[in-house]
Amino acid sequence: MFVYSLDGLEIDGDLANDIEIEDNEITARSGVYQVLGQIFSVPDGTDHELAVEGKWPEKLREAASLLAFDFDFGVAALASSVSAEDYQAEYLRLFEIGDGDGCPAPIYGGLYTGGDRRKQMEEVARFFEYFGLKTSKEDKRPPDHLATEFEFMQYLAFKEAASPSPRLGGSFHRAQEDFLERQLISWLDEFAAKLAAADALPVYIWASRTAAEFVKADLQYLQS
Amino acid sequence: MKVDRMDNEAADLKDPASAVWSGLTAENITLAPVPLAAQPTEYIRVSRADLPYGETADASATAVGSGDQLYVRLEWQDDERPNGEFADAAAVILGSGDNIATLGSDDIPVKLWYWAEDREGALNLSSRGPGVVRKNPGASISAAASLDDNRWAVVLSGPAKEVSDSQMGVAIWNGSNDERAGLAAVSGWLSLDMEAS
Amino acid sequence: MNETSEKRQIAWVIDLNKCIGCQTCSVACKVLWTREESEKAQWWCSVNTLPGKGTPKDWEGMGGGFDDAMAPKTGHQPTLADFGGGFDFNHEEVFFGGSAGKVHLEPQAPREGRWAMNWDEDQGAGEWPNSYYFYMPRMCNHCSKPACAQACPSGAMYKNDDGLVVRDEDICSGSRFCMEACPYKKIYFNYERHVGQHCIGCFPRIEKGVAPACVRQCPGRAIFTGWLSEDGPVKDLVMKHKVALPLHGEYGTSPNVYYIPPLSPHPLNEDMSINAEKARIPPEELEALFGPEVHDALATMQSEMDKVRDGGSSELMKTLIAYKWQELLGPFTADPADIIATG
Repeated sequence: MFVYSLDGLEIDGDLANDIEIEDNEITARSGVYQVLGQIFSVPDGTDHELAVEGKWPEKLREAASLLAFDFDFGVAALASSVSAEDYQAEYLRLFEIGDGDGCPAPIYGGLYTGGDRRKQMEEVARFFEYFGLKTSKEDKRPPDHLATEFEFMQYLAFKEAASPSPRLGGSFHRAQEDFLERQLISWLDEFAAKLAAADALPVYIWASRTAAEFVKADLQYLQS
Repeated sequence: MKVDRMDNEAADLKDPASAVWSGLTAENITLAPVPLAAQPTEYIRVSRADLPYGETADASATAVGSGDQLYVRLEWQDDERPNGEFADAAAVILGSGDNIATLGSDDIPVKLWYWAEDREGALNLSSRGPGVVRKNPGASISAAASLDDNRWAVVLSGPAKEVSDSQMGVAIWNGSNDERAGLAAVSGWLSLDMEAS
Repeated sequence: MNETSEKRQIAWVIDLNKCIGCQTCSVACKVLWTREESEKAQWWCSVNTLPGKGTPKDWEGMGGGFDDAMAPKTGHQPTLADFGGGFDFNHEEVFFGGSAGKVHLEPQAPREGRWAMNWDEDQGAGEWPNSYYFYMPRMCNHCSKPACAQACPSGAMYKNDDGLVVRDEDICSGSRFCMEACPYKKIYFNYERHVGQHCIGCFPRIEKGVAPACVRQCPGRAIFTGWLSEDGPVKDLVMKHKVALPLHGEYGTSPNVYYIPPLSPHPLNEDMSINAEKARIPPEELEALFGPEVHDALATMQSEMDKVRDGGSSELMKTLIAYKWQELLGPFTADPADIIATG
């Protein structure tokens, strides 16, 4: 049974009813977004272990077992010589802080597409709000953080799967199309290209390419 | 007031600026505001309690009979032009009851030969109180006006038979003071002394 | 006239959450009733952006209506300048000037000091990202205590059998006290015909079972009509759910157009996180329009919406969504095309 989890987001107001739903092609997608969100969060010790053991692609494949379309998640592992601290430092260098020469591949969608970041952030925040979510007070990430955007996709897909009526489900379905088109797809290719050019750890280059390809494949599936 | 007869001058009599009028003696008339208490709705009584109206105190009138028509020329001073919402207006009042100060009453109406600057021609109205008017389907009347050096001169004319057994009065509405309906200055009755032809 | 009418009363409910400000109601009314040149400035139905000065400009400060003791309050008679002369566009230049693609259709100078029915459209208030506005269609409220009719010296205005405030133009002497007394400033003057004019509630349509044009033409399904005392959406929204409220009830005229106040998203904090404590449209501004009951109405709307979002069902939301558009028309479901065809 699929269980959703939120870190960067929280539900505004009362908790949604916990509904038990059987795994299916929709929860499979929700699961993939859940794992993608974990991959792009600040890595802790457990994440480091998973990366070294090459478990990230495996976890994605596992989540995707009931996926209604074919997708190749590839193979990737972190060299065992990279310590947990180095892994975390690489995350901060690539995505958050940079190395004195600017941040090579910021993890915030609002910094791509050439527009005003605050307008992008507003749009993302309004997306969250419309579906009863807000950014978490515990984990204070700006709303346009990649992991938060994946979490949002996870939540929307789960709500689609849990919808008691096709009408309500359709609303969540269309929201996923919108969010992919307007946000994730608009910047993930550029994000992956920047990582590739930044001499990043191969596991992050793999992760960004996989994510960029998956959102495109997923949109195609949603629109079919 | 005396009504002169001028049976050959009908065309000129319609024109308030015509020289025909200057040879006649005008009667001076005193006017006073229609009483606030007589205004027909509470809204008007409340809203005009502290807003003076009907302050045109003096006018003059000249009357001529010609054929079967009666011509009345009114003249008064008005120093301010209206703002465009309400027009300067005047009426010859015809009636016989003891109710000219209120422009008629519920039981006994008066007739108004009514001219306003913003209307073509004139209206023949029946009035049963300040602003309580209906259009009279009766005889058609006409009006012409001129403004010279801030003095209005207006000639109202209609069938003389409308006047039989009637007294005459005058009402004036000052447009620049937003006067209309019962917000008017009104004279007392003048007896018409129709000269035999 | 009858001050406390025992007659049935037609009413409108306008859902401000659904109004998209398209002015279709305004135009539907305009083409039906006020097409004459002398009626150019008349928009019996008009949609304004709030916050805003509306039409006539600053109408809320113009007085009229009644005080707490039901004594009439002095009002300002809106002038042509208050309503505004409308927009002058460069049609000639755009269509016949030979400069296609270079010149765009736009209002022409002078623009300062002018006004029109929707002059301040989409202006609203506040600063991005928390700027806000909403639309509000306005028309004659066909009040149960019509200050206009009570002010009329000639007795030209009255409530008809359906509760509509109508005017006998043959009796109207053009004295315009109705325009002063109406606190909603929804009466116009025809300077050519010398009579006041206002929304007649499409009474010739009502009498044939056809809904008013503003209701029937609304593409947003935002306007309901029906008898206030008979079962249907109007009665439910006003009496049962209590989510539809009169505009400026404190004016004392007991209006019969009701509004469902607009819910709004939360404002954003400086760091673009959501401020879940507040609403983007300040509730105190809504209270100034719809009275203190607005808070309960908004809370009811929000909780019913949440219910549906959690997969539940809500009678109120179903009513407001109006899955079948005929539900908006109350008993007035006849098709105007049929009326004409059968004579």
